Amino acid sequence: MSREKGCSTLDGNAAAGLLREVFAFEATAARTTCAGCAGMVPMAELRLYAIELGAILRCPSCDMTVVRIVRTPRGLWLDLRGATTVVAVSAGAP
Amino acid sequence: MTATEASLPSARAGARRLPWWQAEVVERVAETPRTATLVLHVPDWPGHRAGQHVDVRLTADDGYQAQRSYSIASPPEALPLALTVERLEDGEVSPWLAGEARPGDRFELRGPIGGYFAWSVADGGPLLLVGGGSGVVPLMAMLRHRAASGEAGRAVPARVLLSSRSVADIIYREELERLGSVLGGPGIVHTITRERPPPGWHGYARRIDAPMLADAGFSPAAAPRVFVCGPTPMVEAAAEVLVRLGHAPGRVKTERFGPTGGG
Repeated sequence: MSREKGCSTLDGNAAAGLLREVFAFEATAARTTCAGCAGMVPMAELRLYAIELGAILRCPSCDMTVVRIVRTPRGLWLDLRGATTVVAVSAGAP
Repeated sequence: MTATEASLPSARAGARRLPWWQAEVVERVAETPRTATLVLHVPDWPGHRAGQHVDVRLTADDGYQAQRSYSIASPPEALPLALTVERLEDGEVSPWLAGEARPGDRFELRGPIGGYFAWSVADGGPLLLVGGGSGVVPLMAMLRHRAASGEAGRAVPARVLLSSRSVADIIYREELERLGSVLGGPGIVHTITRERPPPGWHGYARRIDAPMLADAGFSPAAAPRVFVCGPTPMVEAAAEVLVRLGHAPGRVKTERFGPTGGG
C-alpha cells in the first residue's frame, strides 16, 4: 500500500477508538519485545529496578531497560524505546 | 467516523483511572506470629479476580506518604475484601498494617491491580500453585475462588506446594487442611525450611527443588497453569526448575515480592 493510498485526511483523533483499544490493555499481561535481545515477555516478568521516582523495568534475559516510567510534576513520563513492540493480550490468555 | 464515536471512548478511558478509596478495617485476624488478615469495608469496591492486588497508601501527620502493594486474599465471590499482610522488619507500611491496624482504622486503597497473575475457574487448568511464605496469599484467593465455584471449580484439578519457614509460620494452615480434605479438594503439600520437622510431619523439610515439584505438581504433559509467588530467590528457583522439568515458560506465571516492593 502506497503512503498516498494509506493516508487519509484525518488525524489521530479519528483513531481514538483504536488507540483506546490499544492503550486500555492490562499492562502486566502485555508482551514486550526487548530491543536488545528480541526476547518477548509479559511486562509482569520484567525486572523492577527502582521505585522511588517511578520504575525501571529491565529484560530478564539481557538486562536491557525495556520500560522507564518517571513521575514528574507534570504527569507520568513513559519511555518505551527499549521495547520494539508491545502486544496487548486478553487477561485470561496463556 | 462521527464525533460521537470519537468522544465516547475517551470519556470511558477517563473513568478507567484508578481512584483511591477509603478502606475501613472491620476485623483483624492474627494468622501467624508475623502475619495478620485485615477484613476491610471498601464502599463501591468494583470486584476483582483471584490473584490481583491492591495498592495501600498511608499518610503520616506531616503529609509523608508511603505506598505498597498487597495481594487480595478474599475470592471474588466474597465481600468484604480481605488482605493478609506479613510484617517486614524495617517496613514502612507492613508493621502498621500487620501489627497496629484495628477495627475502625482507615487508610487509602486502590485496585484491583494486575491482570497477569490472576486466575478464574473459566480459564481452566489443571492448576498448580507454588507459594513461599506470604506468597500463599494470592494463591489462597484462587483456592477460595475454586472452592466457591462448585462443580465447575471441582472440575479443575488443583495441586499446591507451599514453602514456609516453620510449621507455626504456615499461613491459613487449618483452612488449607479443610479445603484439601473435601472430595475434589486440592492436593496440598507443605515444606518447611528453617526448623527440624516435628514428629508426625508428613511434608518435606527442605527448600523447593526438582524432585519435590515433580512429586507435588502435575506432569508437563498435562500442561497445567502454574502460578508461583514468593520471595524472589524462591520464585526464581522454582520457575527455573519448572521449566527444566518441561513446563512451557508461558504457562509458568510468577510474582516476586521483597523488601523494596512489599514493605
